[in-house]
Amino acid sequence: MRRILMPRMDIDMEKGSVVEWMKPEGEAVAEGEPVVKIMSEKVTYEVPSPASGTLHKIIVTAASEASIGQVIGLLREQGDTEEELEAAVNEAVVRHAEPERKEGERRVEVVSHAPRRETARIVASPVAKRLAEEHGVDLARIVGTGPEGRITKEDVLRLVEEASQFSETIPLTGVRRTVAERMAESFRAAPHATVTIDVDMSHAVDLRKRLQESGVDVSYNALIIKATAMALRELPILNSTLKGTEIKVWKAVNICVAIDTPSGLVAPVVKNADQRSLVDLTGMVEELASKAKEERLTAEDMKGGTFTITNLGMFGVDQFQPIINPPQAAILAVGRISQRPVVEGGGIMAKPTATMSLAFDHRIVDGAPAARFLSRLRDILQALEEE
Amino acid sequence: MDRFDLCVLGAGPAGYHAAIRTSQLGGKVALVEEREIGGTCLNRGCIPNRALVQSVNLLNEIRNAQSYGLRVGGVEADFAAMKRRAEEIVKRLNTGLREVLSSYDIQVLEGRGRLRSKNEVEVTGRKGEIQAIQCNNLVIATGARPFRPWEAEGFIASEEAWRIVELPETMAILGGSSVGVELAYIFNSLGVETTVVESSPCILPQFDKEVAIRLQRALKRSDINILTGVEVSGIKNREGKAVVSLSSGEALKVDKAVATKRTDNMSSLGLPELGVETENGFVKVNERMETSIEGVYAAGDVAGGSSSQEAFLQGTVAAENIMGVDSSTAGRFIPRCVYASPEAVSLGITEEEAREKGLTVTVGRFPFSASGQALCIGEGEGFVKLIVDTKYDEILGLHMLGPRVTELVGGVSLAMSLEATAETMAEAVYPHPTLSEALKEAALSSLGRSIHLPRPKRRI
Repeated sequence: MRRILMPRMDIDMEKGSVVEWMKPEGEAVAEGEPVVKIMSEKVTYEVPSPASGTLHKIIVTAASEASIGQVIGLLREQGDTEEELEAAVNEAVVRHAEPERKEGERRVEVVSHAPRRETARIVASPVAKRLAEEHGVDLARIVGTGPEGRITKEDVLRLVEEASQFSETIPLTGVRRTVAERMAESFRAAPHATVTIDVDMSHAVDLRKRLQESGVDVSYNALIIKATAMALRELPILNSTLKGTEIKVWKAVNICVAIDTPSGLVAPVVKNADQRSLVDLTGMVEELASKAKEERLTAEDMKGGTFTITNLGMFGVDQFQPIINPPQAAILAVGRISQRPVVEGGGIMAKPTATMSLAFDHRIVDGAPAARFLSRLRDILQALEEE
Repeated sequence: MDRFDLCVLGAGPAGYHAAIRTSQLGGKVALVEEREIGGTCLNRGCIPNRALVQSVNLLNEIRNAQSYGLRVGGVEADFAAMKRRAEEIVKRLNTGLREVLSSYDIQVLEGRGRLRSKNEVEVTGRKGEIQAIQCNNLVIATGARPFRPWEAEGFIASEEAWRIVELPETMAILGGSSVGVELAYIFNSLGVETTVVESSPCILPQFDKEVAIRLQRALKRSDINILTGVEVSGIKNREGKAVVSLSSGEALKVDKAVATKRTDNMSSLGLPELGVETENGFVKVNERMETSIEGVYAAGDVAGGSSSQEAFLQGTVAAENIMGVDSSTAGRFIPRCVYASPEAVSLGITEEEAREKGLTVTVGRFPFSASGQALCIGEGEGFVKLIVDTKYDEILGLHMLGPRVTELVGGVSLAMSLEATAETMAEAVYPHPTLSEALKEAALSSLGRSIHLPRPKRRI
C-alpha cells in the first residue's frame, strides 16, 4: 500500500488543491503515470503515481484543499490486506477531518486500528434536509436557529434566498486563493508608498525599430525588464526582502512578470534578468506567457522572484498603483506608450511617453532611494543600447 | 400592594397560561377573574361538553352491544346524573387549577377588571369593593360571550345547554361549528329531535371539505336534521315554543334554540380610552400578541382566537414576550377537533387551501375500513388524509374523520412542528394493531407505497 501525498512545489507553499483525479477509485495505475492533478501557488501539476497498483481510495476530492504532506489518496499494491487498507483509510480520513493545527502545537497521536469515522452529527429537520439536498446546500455551513441549534426549513431557505442574489458562487481555491491571501497579506504588512515618473520612450521605440530592421525582434517588456534589472544592480536595496528584523538583499536579480490567465494572475520568474540579452528576454517572456495561458508553468518557473513588473499598457492604462508581490520590496507598474505633448527647447512636441510607478515597502526603503531608482530606470531606458 | 410584572384580565385558557408562564419566567403576576377560574373552556364549554359526549358515546356503544356479541338489558340515560358527573369533573379540574396557580404564587383577584391606565387596573369585587393594582404589563384575556341578537324564551347559549334541567323534545342548534355539532350529537343521542342550522353550504366550513361532508352525512344518518345554506332571521315565542324563522322562509318550532355564535367580551374594560385598537370586534394583535399599545397584550377569544388550544398558545406567547423571551405564533399549527361519532380533526392546510395557494401537493389517504384495529373496536368509518408538499415531502396538513382521531392528531402536530416529511413519518414504527397505523399508511400512500391497500392503478 502506498500513500499519495500532497506534494510541495514551492518553498512558500502551505496548501494545494486537488483539481481532478485522473483515475477513478478501483482503476489500475502504473508507476509514474499521472494519477491526480493538483494546483497550488499558481502552478498546476500532475502527480505521478508512486507505484503500480490500483487507486484504492480518494481521500481529498476535487476542488478540496490539503496541506503539504497530507495523504490525498491511497494506492493498493499486491499483497495488501483489507485490514491494513481500512486502517490506512480511516487514519487518512481522520487526519483530513482534523482542524489545522498551529505551529508548535503538539499533535496528539491517536493510535487506533479500530475503524473510526468521525463526522459531527448535524441536527436538521427532515424538510430542511430535503431542501438542502434540492438546492445543493451544505448543512454543515448553517447555524440552526431551532431548538438546540436544530437547522430548520427557514434556515435553509434563508441561505437559498441569499444565494439567489448571486448569479454564481466561485470557491476561493488555487490561483484565486493564492492571489487573495498574498495581496491581503502584502497590503496589511507592508506600508505601500508609490512614486511615479514619465519616461520618454523615443529612444526605446527607435531602438526597437532599428533592431527590427536588422531582423531582430525585441519586445518593450524585454526592454523594460532589462532596464529595471540594470537599475536594480545599481540600487540593490530595492532587490531585497524583509525577514523579521533583517533586510536581506538578494544576489540575483530575478524578475517576476505579472501575467493574466483565465484562472487569475500569475507571476513567473525571469531569472538573472540583468545578465540576459534583449533577445533572450523577449523569448523568455513569450515562453512564460504561453506556458501561463496553457497552465503549464512548473514550480521551477515560479521560484525565486526578487522584484515584479506589471504592465497594463495593452489595455490603454496610463498609470496605476500596484500591490507589492510579497515578500519582495517593490513592484514596478508600467502604463502604455502614447504620444504626449512635451515641452522641449521652448516648443511643444509630441513624444512617445510611458508613465511608470514604483510601489515600495516603506519599511525597507525610503522615498528618496525609491525615487532615485525610478529616475535611474528612466535614464537607462532613454539611453539603452543592445550590447 | 406591590407592583406586578403582569396583570392578566380573565382566568380562562389564555389568561391562566399567560399567568403561569410569566411566573415560570420569574414574573410576579395578578390574575383577575369575575367568574370561575378556567373560563368558558373548563366551566361551561370544552370540559362539561366532553364529559357529556363520553356519556353518550358509552350509551351508543351499549345500544350497539349486540354487534360486539353482548346482550345487554335496557339501557337508560339519566341526564341529571350525566350532568352531575360533568360537574364533578369541572370541580376537580377547577380545584387542581387553583392549586397550580397558588403554587406559582399567582395572586388571584375575584372581581371585574377595568383599566384605569395601561399600568393600573381597577378591580370591583362581588360586593362592590374596589381595589387598584399596579402592573408593568397587561394581558387582555377576557374571552368571548354568547351572541344573542334576539330575546326569546327557550333561546339559550351553547354554554348553557349542558345545564338544561329537563331534556326538551326538540332543539334547534344555530350554527354548525364544532360546538354546534357536539351539542347536536349529545342531544340527538339522548333522544332529542335535533336540527342544526348552518349558513354555509356544509357544516364545519373551516374544516377540510371532504371531512365536513362525510361527517354531515354520518350525522344525518343518525337522524340529526341539518339545514345548510340557511340563515336565521329571528326568533319569537309562540304557543310556549321558540320559533326560529329562516331565510328560506321556513320556520322551526322547537323547545330550545341554542346560539353557538360568540362575540367580544371587552365592552366594559376601558380599552378605547386607552387607545387599544380593535378590528372586527376583536383586539388587534400581532404574532407576538402585542396590541397597538406597548406593554398591553391580548390573547385568546378576545384577540380572535377560536379554540382553547389556540388560547393556550397565545397566552404563552404573550407571557414569553413580556418576560423577554422572543416568541411568536407564526408558523405554529393549531389542530381543530370535533367530538362526535365519528370524531373529526383538521390540522394545518386543507387540500382546498393548498390548491388556492397554488401549492403542488400529494394527498395520502387511508380509510379506517382497512384498519384492523378500527374494525376490532367496531368503528370502521372515516379516513385519514395527509396533505404533503410534492416537492419537499413536507407534511402540510392532516385531516381525519373516524374513531378517536382527536387522540391521533397530537403526534402529527409534533411531527409537523419538527418539519417532518412523509418519508420520516412512514419510517417510524407504530404499534399493531392500533389506530395510529392509519397515519403511517397515509404517509405511505402519499409516497405511493401503501401496504394495506391494493396497488394503486397505473395512470394512463
